[in-house]
Amino acid sequence: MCEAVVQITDVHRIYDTGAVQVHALRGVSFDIHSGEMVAIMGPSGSGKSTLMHTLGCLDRPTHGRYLLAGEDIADRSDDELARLRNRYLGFVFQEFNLLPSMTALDNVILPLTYRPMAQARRRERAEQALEQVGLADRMHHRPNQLSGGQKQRVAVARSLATDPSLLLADEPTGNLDSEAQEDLMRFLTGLNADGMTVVIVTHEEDVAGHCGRIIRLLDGEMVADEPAGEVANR
Amino acid sequence: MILREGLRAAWMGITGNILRSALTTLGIIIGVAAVITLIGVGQGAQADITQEINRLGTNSILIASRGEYRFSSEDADEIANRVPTVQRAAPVLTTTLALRWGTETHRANAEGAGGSYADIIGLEVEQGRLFDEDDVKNRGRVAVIGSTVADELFAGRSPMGESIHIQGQSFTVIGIMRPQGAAMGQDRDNLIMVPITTLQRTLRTDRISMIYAQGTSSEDIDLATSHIERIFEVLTGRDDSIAVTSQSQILEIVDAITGTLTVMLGAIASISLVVGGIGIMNIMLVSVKERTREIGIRKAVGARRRDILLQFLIESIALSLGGGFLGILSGWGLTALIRFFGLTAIITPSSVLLACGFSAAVGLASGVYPAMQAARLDPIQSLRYE
Repeated sequence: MCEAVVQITDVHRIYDTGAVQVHALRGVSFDIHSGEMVAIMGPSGSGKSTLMHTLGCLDRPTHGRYLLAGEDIADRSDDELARLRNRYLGFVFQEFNLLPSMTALDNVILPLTYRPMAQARRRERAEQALEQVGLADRMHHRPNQLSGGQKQRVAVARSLATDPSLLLADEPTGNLDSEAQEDLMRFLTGLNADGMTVVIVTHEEDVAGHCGRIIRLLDGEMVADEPAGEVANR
Repeated sequence: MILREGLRAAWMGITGNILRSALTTLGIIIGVAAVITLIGVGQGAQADITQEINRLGTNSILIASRGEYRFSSEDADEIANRVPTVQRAAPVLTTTLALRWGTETHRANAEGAGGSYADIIGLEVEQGRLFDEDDVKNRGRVAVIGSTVADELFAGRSPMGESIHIQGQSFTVIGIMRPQGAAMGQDRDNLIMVPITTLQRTLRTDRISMIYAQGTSSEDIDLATSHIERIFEVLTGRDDSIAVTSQSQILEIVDAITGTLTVMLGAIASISLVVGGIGIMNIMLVSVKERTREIGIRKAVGARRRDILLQFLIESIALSLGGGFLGILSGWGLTALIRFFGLTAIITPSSVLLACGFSAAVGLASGVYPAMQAARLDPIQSLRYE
C-alpha cells in the first residue's frame, strides 16, 4: 500500500584518505516507506552523518544501491543530484543554515528559485509555507531578528516549500532549548500525521521517541531497526 | 529566472560589503578613466596637428633638396612655368637672425620668401600689408613681422614704419602678421619675413632652403608631384636629388604618428585596467571563501554548478562594469579639466565603447577562476565550513 521513498541496499561508503581507508558505512540496507517517521541514531563515528549525506544525495555510496523515490542515484552527475535534492528532499540542519542577509521569506523562496516557475507563484508558495509553521508575522525579519526556535521553523518552512517526498532533519533540536525542542517535535509529528515522510538523525532518545521507527548504527553497521514503542518499554 | 536569482545574489554580495566593493571598483575606475583621458589627449593632439596642416591648404607641395643639389630661385620659376598643374611656386630661405631696434635686440626665425609665398601658405596680415612681387624684384628693404617679434622689440609701441636692423641693414616694417599660435612646440609668431632677394644679399648667398608650390587643385597634386620630380631628374641626372612632399602626404604621416601615439597611450593606460582586474579577482576569491557556507546551502537546496558559477560571474562583471561606468564619468571630468587648461582632449564614442567592452572583459576574465572555484565546492564540506 505504501510505496518506498527510500530503498537502500548494501550501501558501503569508504573514504580514501590516502594513508588509510575509512569504512564509514559497511553494508547498510533498509527501506523507508511513504508516511513513515524514522530516527537514525548512533554514537559519533557510527556513520550516521554519512548515512544522512547519502540519503540527502549530497554524497554517493562507494558500493550498493540507493533508490530515492524510485530513481537510482548511482552515476548521476553533480547537477543531476542537485535536481534530485531540489525535487524530492527538504533539509533541516542543526545550525539552521539560513542566509543571514536575506529575510525569512527570501530564505524560504531560495530553493524555489532553482525551479522553473513564476516569481509570483514562488512567493505565494513560500508565504504558505511560513504560515504553515506559524511565522506569517515574521516573514520580513532577518534570521538575526529571530529566536532559535523561529529560525528552525523558517528552515522547516524552506524545506516544505518545495513539497518534498522526504524531509531530512540532521540533529534539528541540537541548538534549541527544551521548550523550542518540544514545539519543533510536535510540529514534525503533526506533519508526519498529515502524511509527510520524515527522517531525523539524532542522538537524543526523547527526540527519537517521537518517531515510529528507530534505526541504530554502530561502527558503520546497522545494529537495530525497531519500532520506537519497544524503546519506551525497555 | 536563474539569471534573475544570479543578479539578486550578486547584488547582495556587492552591497553586503559596500566599502570593499567600492575600493575594488576603484581600480577599474582609475583604469578606465586613464584610458579615456589618455586616448582623449592623443586624439586631441592629432586633431590639433591635422587642423594646423590643413590650414596650409591641402593642395600645397613642399620641395626640398636632399643634400648635394643646391636650389636657386630660378628653380621655383621653372616649376611654376613648366608644370601646368602647379598654379604658383615660391622660393623660401629660412634662418635665424638677431634683430635690433634702437637698443632692443631679439632673436627670431627669419624667412626670405618669394612674392607668392604668403598666398601659398595662406598667410594674412593684421595690420599694414604683405610685400609683393615688385618688392622681391627690387630687393626692397621691407619686413613683415609676427606678433612675438612686435612685442619683444617694440613693447607696446606701434612697429609700423619703424626700421629694424639686421646685420647692419635696416628694414622698414610694413605689416604685422595675424597671430598663428604655437604649432608642435614652436612659436609661429616669433617670425620676421622679408623678400628673399634682399635676404640673400644680406647673407651674401644665392642659396634657398626650399620651394613651396601650390597645385591647381587637390586632385592634381599627385600629377604635379611626379612632374616636378621628373624635371629635377632630367636636370640633375639622378632621381634622389630632391624630396617632393605634398600636404596630403604629410597629413598621412602625421596621422600615422599620432595614431601610434594614441594607441601607445591607450595601451599604457590599459595596464592599470589589468591591475584593476587583478584586484577584482582577488576580492572575488575572498568572497567565495567567505560565502562558502552560503554556497553549501544553495547547493543543498538544489543550485547546480552553473547557477553558482553564474552568480559569481555576474558579481564580478557587475563590479567591473560599474567601475567602468564611473570611470567613463571620471574620464569625462578629467578631459574637461584638461580642456580648461588649454589642451585639446576629445572623448570619442569609440574610446567610450572600448572602455566599456574592456572593463566587461576584465570583469569576465577575473571572475571566471573564482566562480569556477565556487561552482566546484563540495556541498558537504561547504556546509561544515565555519
